[in-house]
Amino acid sequence: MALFGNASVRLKLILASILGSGTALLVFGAVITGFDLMALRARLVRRMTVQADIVGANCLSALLFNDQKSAEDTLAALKADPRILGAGLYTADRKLFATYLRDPASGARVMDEALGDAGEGHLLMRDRLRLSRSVLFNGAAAGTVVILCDLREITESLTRDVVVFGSVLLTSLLLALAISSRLQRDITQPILHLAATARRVSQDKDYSVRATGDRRGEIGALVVAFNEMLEEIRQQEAALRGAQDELEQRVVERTAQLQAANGELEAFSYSVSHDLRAPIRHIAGFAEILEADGAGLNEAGRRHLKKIAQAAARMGELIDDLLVFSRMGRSELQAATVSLADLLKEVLKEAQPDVQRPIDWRIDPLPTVHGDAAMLRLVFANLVSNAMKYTAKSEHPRIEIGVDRDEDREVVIRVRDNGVGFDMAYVSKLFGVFQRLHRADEFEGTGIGLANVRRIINRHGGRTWAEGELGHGAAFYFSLPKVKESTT
Amino acid sequence: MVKAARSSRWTRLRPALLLCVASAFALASDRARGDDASAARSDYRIKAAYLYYFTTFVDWPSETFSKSGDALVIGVLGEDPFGAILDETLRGKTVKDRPLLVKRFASIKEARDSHILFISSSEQDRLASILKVLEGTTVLTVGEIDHFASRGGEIGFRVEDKKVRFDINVTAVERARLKVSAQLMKLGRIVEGPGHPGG
Repeated sequence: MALFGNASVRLKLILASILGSGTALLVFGAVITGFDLMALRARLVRRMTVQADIVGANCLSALLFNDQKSAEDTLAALKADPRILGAGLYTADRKLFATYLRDPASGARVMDEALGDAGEGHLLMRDRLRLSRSVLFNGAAAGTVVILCDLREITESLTRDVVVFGSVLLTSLLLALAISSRLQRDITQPILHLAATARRVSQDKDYSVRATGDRRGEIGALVVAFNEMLEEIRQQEAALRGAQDELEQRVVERTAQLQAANGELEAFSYSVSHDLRAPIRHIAGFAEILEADGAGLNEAGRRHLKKIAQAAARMGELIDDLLVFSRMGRSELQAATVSLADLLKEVLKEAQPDVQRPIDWRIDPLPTVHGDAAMLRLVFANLVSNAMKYTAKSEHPRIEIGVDRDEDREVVIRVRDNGVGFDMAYVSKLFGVFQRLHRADEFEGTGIGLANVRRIINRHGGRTWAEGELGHGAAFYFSLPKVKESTT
Repeated sequence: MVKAARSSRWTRLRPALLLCVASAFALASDRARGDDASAARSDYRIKAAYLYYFTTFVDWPSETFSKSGDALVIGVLGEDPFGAILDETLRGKTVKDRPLLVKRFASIKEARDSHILFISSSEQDRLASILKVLEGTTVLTVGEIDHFASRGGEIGFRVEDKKVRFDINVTAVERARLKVSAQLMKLGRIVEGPGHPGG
C-alpha cells in the first residue's frame, strides 16, 4: 500500500486492478511473443535446412565433377526464396567452390573464401541466419552448403506481434479502467460514505447520525458495527450527561441544604452568644459588688470570688469574640478597591505603641486588591498581633510582610516571624475556632483570630495556609483572587 | 555428443577427403606445366575418380548384377592408360553396397559383362566393331578417343580449359537401357550421334 501513498481508496482500487491486469497481459504477451519468436526461428531454420539439403543434393554432381558453372546454376535456384541473401558451396577441403548472391550489385563479400568451421549447424545473428549443411556422397561429406538468410521476416513478424500486443494491451487497460472505475464504485461508495460519516461524527460530536448503505458483505458489516458503536456511544453519552446533570442537581440541593443548616447554626450561635452575655454580666457585676463589700467573707471566700470574677470576664471576652466571628460570616462584604499597603500602615500604627521591644520590621510594597477594607484590616490586625505575640520572647524579633507571589489569577501575601513557631503536625488545627497550640497563660488570646482570618479570606474567594517549625518561627499565607467576583 | 558426431563425420569424410586431396594435388601439378607426364597422370587420376562417380549417377538393370556376382565391374579394354591409379582410386569403394571390381580385357568378347567399359585409345581403329559387339548389352562405354560420343560411344572424355569434361550420347545411353541421372546429364555436353555403329 506504500506504493500508492495516501491516495484514496478509489484510486488504489483502480490502480490495483489496472496494475494487476496490465502485469498479467504483459507477462502473457511476453511469453507468447517469446514462444512465437522461438517457433519462427525454429521453423526458419528447418526450412533453410531443407533448402540447403535440396541444393546440396543437386550440387553433388557439380562438386564431384568439379563443374563450378553448374554448381552456380543450381545455387541460383535459391533466388526463389527472397529471404535467402546468399549461398555458398564449399569443397570438402573447405574452399569456396561456388556462390550465389541475391544482390551482387551490393558488392558485399557475403561468403568467406574458406569455410570457418567444419561442422554442420546454424548460427543466429542479430539480423541474419547462417546455416551450414554437409553435401553427402556415399555417406561421406563431399562438401558443404552454406546459406545466409535474412531474419527481417522474423523481425517484421515480431514487430507486428509487439504492435498488435501493444494495442491489445492499451485497449484492455482502457477497458479495465472503464470496468474497474465502474465496479470500484460498489466498493468505495460505502467506504467513502462511512468515512464521511465518521468525519462528521468526530467533528460535530453528533452521535445521532447513522451510516447508511447495503448491509451485506464486509462493508455492510462495517456499516452495521459502526452504527452499533455510534448507538453505544450515544447511549453512554446520554447516560453520562444524565449522571452529570443529576450530580449537579444534587450539589445544588446539598449546597442549599448546607447553606440553610449553616445559616441556622450561625443564627443559633449568635443568639446563644447574645443571650449568654446578659447572665455573664450579671455574674460579673454581682461578683464585683460582693468583692467590694467583702462582707462576711474570709480569705478563701474572697479568693474564690476573685476567680469567679476572672472566669466571668474571660467568658465575656469569649462571647464577644464569638459574636465578632459570627458577624464575619453574616455581614455583607463592602467590596471596593483597597490598598493593602495603606491598610497595613494603619494596623501597624495602632499596634506599634503597645510595643516596647524593638522589632525588626521588613515590609515589602503591597498591591492594591478588590475587597472589604474593614475585613482585610482585621486580617492584617490578627496576623500582625499574632506575629508580635509569638515573637515576644525572641531576643531579636523580626517580622516580614510581603508578596509571596503575584500571578495572573491571584496574589499571595505572606506574614512571617521568627517567633516560637509551631509543630507542622497540628497545622490543620491552626485556623479552627478557639484552637490554641499554646497554653493561655503562656500567650494571651482566645484563639479565634486565625479562624476569623480564614473566614474573611474564604469569603473573598481566597485561601489561607501556614508553615512553621517549633522554635524557628511561622509563616502565614493568604491569597486573594485578582478577578473581581461577587461573593456570598 | 558433439565430439562423437564430429568424429563419426570425420570417418565418413575421410574417403572423400582423400579424393579431394588427390584432385587438389592433381590440380596443383596441373599448374606445373613443365611436366607433361605428370599432367597426364593427374588427368587419369581425375578420370579414374569420374569413372567411380559415374557408378553413382547411372542405374543399371538389376539383372546385370546376377552375372557378376553382385559386384559392379569396371573394365578397361585395350592398353590400360591408368596403370595402378584406377585400382588405387577404387580400392575399398562400394556403390550401393556393391563392391567395385576392376577388370582388364584384351578382347571385346570378354568385356560384354562389364557395367562400365573404358575403351582405351589403343582401340581407336576397332571402335566401330567393338561398339557393334556391345550392341544390346547394358554396358556404359567410356572413352577418351576424339568424338567418342558422337561416334557411338556413350560418354566421352575431353579436356576443356585444362579441366576434364565429358560428352554424353543420349541416344546410345537410352539404347543400352541405362538410366543416367539428371545431375550427370546437366554436367555433360549432350551430343547427337549414331545410337549404334555403322549407322
